[in-house]
Amino acid sequence: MKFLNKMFLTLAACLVLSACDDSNEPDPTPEGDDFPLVEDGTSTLLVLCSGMWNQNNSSLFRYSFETGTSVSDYFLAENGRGLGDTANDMGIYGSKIYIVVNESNTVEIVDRTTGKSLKQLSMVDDENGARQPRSVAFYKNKAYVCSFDGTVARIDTTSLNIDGWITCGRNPDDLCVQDGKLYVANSGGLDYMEPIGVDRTVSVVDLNTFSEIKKIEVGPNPGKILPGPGHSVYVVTRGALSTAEDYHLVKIDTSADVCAEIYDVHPENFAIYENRAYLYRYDYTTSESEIAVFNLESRQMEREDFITDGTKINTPSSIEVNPVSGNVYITDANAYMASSDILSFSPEGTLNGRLDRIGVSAICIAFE
Amino acid sequence: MKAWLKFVSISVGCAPLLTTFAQEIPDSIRNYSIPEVRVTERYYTREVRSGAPIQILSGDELRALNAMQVSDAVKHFAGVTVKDYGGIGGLKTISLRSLGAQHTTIGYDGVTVTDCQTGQVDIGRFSLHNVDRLMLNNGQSDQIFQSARYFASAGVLNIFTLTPRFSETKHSNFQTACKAGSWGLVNPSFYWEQRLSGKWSLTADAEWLSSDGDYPYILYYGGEYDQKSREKRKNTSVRNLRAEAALFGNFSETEHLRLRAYYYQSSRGLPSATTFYYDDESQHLWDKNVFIQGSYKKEFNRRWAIKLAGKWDWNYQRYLDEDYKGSAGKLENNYYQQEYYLSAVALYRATDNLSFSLATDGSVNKLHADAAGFASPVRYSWLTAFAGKYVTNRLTLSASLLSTIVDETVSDGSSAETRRRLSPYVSMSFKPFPQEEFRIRAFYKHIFRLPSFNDLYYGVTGNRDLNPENVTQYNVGLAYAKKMSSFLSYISVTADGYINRIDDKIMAIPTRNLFIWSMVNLGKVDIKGLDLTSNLGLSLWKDFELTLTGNYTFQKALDVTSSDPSTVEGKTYKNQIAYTPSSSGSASAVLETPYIDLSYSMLFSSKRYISGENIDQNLLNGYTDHSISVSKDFRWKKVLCAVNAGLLNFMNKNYEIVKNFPMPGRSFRVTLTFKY
Repeated sequence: MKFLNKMFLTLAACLVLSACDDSNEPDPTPEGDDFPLVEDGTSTLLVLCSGMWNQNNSSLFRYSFETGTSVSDYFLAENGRGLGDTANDMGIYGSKIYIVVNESNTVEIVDRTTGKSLKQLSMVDDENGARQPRSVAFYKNKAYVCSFDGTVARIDTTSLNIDGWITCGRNPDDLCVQDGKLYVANSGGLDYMEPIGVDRTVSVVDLNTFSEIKKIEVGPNPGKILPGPGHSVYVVTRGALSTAEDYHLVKIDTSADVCAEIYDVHPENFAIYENRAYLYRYDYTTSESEIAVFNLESRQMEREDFITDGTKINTPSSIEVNPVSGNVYITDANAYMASSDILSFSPEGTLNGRLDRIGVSAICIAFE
Repeated sequence: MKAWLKFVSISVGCAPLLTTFAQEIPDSIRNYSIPEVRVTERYYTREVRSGAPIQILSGDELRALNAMQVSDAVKHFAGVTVKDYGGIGGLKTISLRSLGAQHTTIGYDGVTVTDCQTGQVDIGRFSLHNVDRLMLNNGQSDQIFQSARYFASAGVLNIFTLTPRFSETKHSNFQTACKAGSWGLVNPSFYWEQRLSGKWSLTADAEWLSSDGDYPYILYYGGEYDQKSREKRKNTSVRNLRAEAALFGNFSETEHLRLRAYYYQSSRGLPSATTFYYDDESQHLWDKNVFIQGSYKKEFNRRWAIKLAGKWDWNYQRYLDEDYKGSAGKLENNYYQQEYYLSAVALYRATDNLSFSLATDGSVNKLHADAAGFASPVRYSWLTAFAGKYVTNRLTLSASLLSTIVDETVSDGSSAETRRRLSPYVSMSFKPFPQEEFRIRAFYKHIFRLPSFNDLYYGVTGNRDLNPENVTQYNVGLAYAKKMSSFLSYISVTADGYINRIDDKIMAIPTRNLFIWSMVNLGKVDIKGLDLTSNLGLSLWKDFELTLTGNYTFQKALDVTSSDPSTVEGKTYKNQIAYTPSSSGSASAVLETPYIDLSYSMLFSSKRYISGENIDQNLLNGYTDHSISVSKDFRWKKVLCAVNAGLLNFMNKNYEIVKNFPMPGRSFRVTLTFKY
């Protein structure tokens, strides 16, 4: 009898103990192949990570080149709250950082020196419907934010209020400014299953009157768009189903606002530095990634393989060139199964340094 | 034997709504004097005798748990993870021993419930109102006289509904109940049993459930010390109707027929994940389900018995998102599923100890959707199982071999290839000491799950080249039960250690671009676990009975896809797979007195990771959830009345099982039941 009582007590104790013991598994440590990133003339590196959809785990990674220290979520650390769900783009203008958070339907305007959010703009329509903001661009003290509901909002960078709206094409995904005009890539991506199909246009918006003046046909599903040297804008079209073989790089002549040329190169995303475009592509079917350099002047592929030292990148998820040093930064999203790494390469394509596990799904890089 | 019967009558006598044990043996046990079942056995000894772990929640235990949905109750089984999106309408699926919900078969009165579209069944839709008991088998049941589908998964959750019982003079029984509770819960139900003749009887029952479900929760905008706000869940309203009718033909002690018609409809908001700074909701789901199933059993003689079963099932689901940014301004999908199913089993008892069964099941499953270019797959399955079993008082051996042949056709494009598989199972249970109900048991099973229609054919995410996902299970356990003194009426303890291996795990990864994730066979998982269950009955004094149960599960479910650190898979090597706590369990205490019954139950889970990468950012905290209830039965003229009042999650713990899908906090529930 006594024995059974004991047995029961032991069992009960076992249950209680295990209920309290939450820390029985140590976290595996990162594999530690970090080696610091070095830059002269640049103080900090910011990497926006979108996190996973529905997880509210967007984050802003900040790294100081001066001290070699990093903060994994600068926004959370300074504001006591996270960015939210699926941050998609970030831009620095004047003394502020603008962060566009797609699923949370917000634009966070952050003070560069303190990291504090000065204002959170809610991007919803009159019925509290989601606009789903995607990207931001700047021109003459205004920030422009395009949203999946087809609108572009104009934000005054002093008052931090939205002072105008226009409607462009379907599901605009990215935008940029060139020659005093705004170029909006209308993806129409949410219609990929519909009979109407994806959008094929770039809207040209006059920024003096803030009105759309033209739609340029560029090809199916335009996405990333950037100003190029001279009077040019470059845009990636990703095809109706966004499969790697359908990607194209397209040049728009901004003096005539026409589609100038569709190149036989197939990037998913790119960055422009001087007269070169750094292209990357990840083939989701074969899990192969390619990073190349395309000369915008000669209109020729300059290097099929940008990386020359054999460094492996699993899933490139964003690319940016440090405008001061010309070093190329690429984030590796590790097939979105593990958190992302950032790698820095010299213009010659050799690895300068890397930082691992900077956040989930890195999507945007900026320098200060 | 006398003490044994005394225990039985005491434990049942406390529930005056039931008649005595002698009449209470469910007919599935009573009617077949096959060697593996002894007429006098109570459930818990059956739990002990089985070669593979079996856990049962009886009607009394279910009432004591004050659970409303089947999903609430099964959380009290060991080795179970219920993925619960919160609230009454939120999806709830059951995974056994980290294998994933698609490896669990759900049986409803002996016929399986299938959903070929997703491969998993939402067990939240089953109410406990007309449920007699729940039974969970890891591996498979030792009952070899069963349909082939019951051999065809890594585990089975059986839902058994009430069987009509009549006294000599009273040929109609009625029961009506109404549940009401927090956040607008109203759940009236009606149940009727009618004896039609000496051989025929019927039951009919219906229930309505409506709930607003707008429960409060705390939204954390970072860690525990960061900002937080009090919010209310939105878009959570649920309107459900369920109606069933069943016909029972008991032609003789050895020949039985059952027919059941089932109707269910549901209209519910589909609350999305809680999103910082934006809480508008726009998704809605409608379901309709009809099935008709029947089974017929006959024992020809001491040697031969057969069982036939059949089912027709029609299922409709409509999904609507009115805030979709495509040019149509909304996203709407309509899905139609149909199933035709036939099963036949023959049992042959070669000797009193040795029996064999041969079961064969054929089924046709169709899925149609109104999306353009939808593949409209049809799956033809033919399952055959041959099983043998040898039973003595001290030894039970059973083995089976399942053959699966599955063929599919589609209206558009190519279908998945024809699949042919053989799946073995072996189990044993041995009683080393003749006088002690102490058993050593073990089983081995190799089984697989087919990719679901969604895995194979859904839009651009489907992958028609998918292979089945394989599971190998090894289990070794000890089970002990004893009827004790007059004070400690009984004790039953089980401990099972297991090793599972998943190969070719079907997972979603981005395969065409970042926005289009699709299904691939990637992933190997090694699962090592321990399930402990304990059950203790104490007679405190006179008619005061205390029942204590405790279950505990420890699991290491590690991703072992690739150990090469330069690969993506290597980055999560030996990490615990997502949403799998290393420790979890439940406990309950039920005190029965001549005046009122009191019960307490608790669930707990250790921390989990929301993805396969075990880093702090992916951590989801553990939780405990405590509930209590009080019930009182009394007689008013000829009517038996019962009042039950419960306080659920009374510590008001704010927790999530699925990240950003908060569970309800403290709530109350009152149930009034009248039986005549």
